[in-house]
Amino acid sequence: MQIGSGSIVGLIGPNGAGKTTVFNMLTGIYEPVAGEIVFDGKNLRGRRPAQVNRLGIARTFQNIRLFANLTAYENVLLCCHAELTAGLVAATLRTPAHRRSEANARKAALAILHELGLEHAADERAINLSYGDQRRLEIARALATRPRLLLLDEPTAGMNPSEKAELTATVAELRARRGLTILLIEHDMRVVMSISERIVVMDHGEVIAEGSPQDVQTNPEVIAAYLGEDAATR
Amino acid sequence: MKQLASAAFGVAALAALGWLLDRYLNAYYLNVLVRIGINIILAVSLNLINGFTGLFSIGHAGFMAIGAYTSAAVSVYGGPGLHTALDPITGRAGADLVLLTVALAAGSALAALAGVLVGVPTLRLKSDYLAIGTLGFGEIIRVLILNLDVVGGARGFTGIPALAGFSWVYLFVVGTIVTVHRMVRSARGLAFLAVREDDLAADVMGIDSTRFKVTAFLVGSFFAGIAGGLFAHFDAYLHTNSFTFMRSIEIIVMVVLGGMGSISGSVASAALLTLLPELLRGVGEYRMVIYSLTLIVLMLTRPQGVLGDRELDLRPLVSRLRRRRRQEAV
Repeated sequence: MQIGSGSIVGLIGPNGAGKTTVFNMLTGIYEPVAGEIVFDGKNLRGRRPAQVNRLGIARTFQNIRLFANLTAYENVLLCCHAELTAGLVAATLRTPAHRRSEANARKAALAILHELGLEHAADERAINLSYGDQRRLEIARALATRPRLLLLDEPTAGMNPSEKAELTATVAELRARRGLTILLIEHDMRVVMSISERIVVMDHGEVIAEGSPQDVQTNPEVIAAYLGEDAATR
Repeated sequence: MKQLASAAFGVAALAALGWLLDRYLNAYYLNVLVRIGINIILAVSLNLINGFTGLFSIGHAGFMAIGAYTSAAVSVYGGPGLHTALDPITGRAGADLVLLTVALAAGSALAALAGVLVGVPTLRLKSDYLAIGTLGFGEIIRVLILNLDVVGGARGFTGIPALAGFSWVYLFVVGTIVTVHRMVRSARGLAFLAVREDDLAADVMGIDSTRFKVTAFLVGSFFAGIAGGLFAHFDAYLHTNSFTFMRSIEIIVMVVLGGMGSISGSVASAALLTLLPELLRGVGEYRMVIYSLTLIVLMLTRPQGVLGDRELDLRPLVSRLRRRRRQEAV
């Protein structure tokens, strides 16, 4: 699988195809038994998740994994690694560097919450947020870590059509504004086909097709494997 | 720097207060106050590990024991030599100061090292198994010390100079509270809570959960070691019966009652649970029964403790009093 810098790629396939497993390998949760993962010239094999994130990959989860008892603001704030450079010893001593880094992080966190339309929820505990807000918060949190590659695992699952349209637009905007590369797992074909430049199709742990949305839709192997619950094309 | 100036003033005030209390306060009340202070240090340091980072550790008494016995050994065996060397220069009191500092430093350093040695291998364990691992550690330490004749063995360790009084204890009470508060209530410190909530998600979000867990153990056990050293130099006698599994449970009850994630909660419940046995001397035998029942009731009705994740906030009370005052004036 090749993902060009700055592109937005959709990853589709029937349930059990191995899409989330790919995400888990890319983020260092699983170590691949064979094969290589190269990101921006660096080999990611065997690196721990925290390291992988610092190298520029962030993700959202299929089943939401927010820090439940922390507020939306806190969820984002603690991930502002680019600003939080001072460390715990500096925090204990309240050095000027610490104060500066905290102030910068606070600003960055509030900006991201604003960008994702979450200011109204900033002081709410993550578990108390509406489902749509929780999905947005997952994205906000991932963005706080300043990734270059953003992995979105079924970001619109469980949303109604207007919510899906809103989130799709937000993702497109974010990507344009920040020059992100996006790899997106989705089951909703309308969403995937509308936003992706390229699509990769998986089945039974293997890539069975790759290409533009049109190519993939007419590929007989893909049709044979599945074409999703929503067979409507653009 | 403003911070240094106010810190220096605080230390001086505390030293003066301590000097007065050590001299003039009824020995029993002083004893209770000191024990409250030591329990606060233990509760707040345990809260960092259990409450803020979510690591179910029930071996805190083990770290306290390491601090106690190490510092006591330094004082008993190193004391005479130090006094011979320093008395002509600093006088007896000055040498005592140095001795206690060195003893506490040694005790807490060794306790912190133990914290790392316990923390690293147990990280892989899930909560219940981590608890068993830490319980085992606590017991191993206790039995090891029990068999070391050089620190008294089964007879107990006597002859420890009584160098720690009110000032020293409350100096470290403040130090522990300030350190833990500043660490955890910073933006970077939210990482501890993230590790508690979901350590895998924290890792994926760039927080090295292993580093934070080990740090929690290191800092928590460091202060437990300090508490142990202060305890040794206040009581001037040590026996391993003071560092049993039950002691670890007592501290856990304080943390759980006050709120796993509330520093002020730990302070308040440590004070309350040290005072209560004194006030209820009659039901002394049932103390453990009461503790166990408290834990069970808490887990059923309010598992997050009285204050949960929040700190004691007296501001609404203060503003309500102010409003009442204003109304009365009108």
